[in-house]
Amino acid sequence: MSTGVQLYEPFISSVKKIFKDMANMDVVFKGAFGSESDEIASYGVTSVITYTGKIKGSFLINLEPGLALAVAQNVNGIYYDSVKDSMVLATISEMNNIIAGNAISTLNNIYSLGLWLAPPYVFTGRDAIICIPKIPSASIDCQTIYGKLKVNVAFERSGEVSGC
Amino acid sequence: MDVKYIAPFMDSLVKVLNDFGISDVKRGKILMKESMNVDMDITSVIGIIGDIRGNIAYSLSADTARHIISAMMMGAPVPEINAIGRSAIGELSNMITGAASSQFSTTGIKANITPPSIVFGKDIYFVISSLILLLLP
Repeated sequence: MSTGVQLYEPFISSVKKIFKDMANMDVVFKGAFGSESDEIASYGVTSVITYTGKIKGSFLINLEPGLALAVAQNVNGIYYDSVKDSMVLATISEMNNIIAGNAISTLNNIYSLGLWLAPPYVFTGRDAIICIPKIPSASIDCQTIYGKLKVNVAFERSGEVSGC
Repeated sequence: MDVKYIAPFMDSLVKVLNDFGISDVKRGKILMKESMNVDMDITSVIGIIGDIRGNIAYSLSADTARHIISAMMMGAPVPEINAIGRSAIGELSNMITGAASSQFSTTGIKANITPPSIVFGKDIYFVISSLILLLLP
């Protein structure tokens, strides 16, 4: 399967919708998806969710600390001063779960991929690098008024699935 | 959490490392946690779906990783952890978790694994999932 733009579109739509619906934030996408090296530098708070079915892959949201704090504050209505606050991390993780869940449901409905999501995880720390070995991925940079966001989608290439 | 969900991972870890000639694996005490502060250099996380659902994270120091990668590459020196080394750590996670999934299937529990992701960096603060988190040093 060539990893077509069709597979990325549901993630873009879902990011826009969930950030608006849950955190009342507009996300502006800068350019188009571009191939990513196998090393992605964390902006400060990163959540990853992986999936498997007829194909395998992962979805990652990478947020600057100020953006992660603003998202948690807008969603929960509570002020937070540290990204290590478990509620901040849980909020980002749950947001990722909802975004990926929406996108995967769309992909399953259109392409019958039979994808299932593993639970998300989230981390924060200085100078962290994340690597998804062997699976090609693509990223798109985004901007909000509270800071930068990067979205990364990875799909294993396979000849088993047609139509996407 | 029932021990039947933990033992296959420990058994598989020991067996897979043994297959690469590493036999001095010592097990610590299991802790139950909601979040995890990792002071090691590398953490590989792999998801499980099916009758059971969760994530398993393998954390190791850079020295331990180099030692294991070298063992996986028939003793070749590993001065730094490059793309091949990262791939080897991912493959190790796949092998351990895949073997554990196979053990689950013998007891009627269906479990499938998702691709591993590897986080590099010290002093990383993780929330692995909103589910129960067990730490096995």
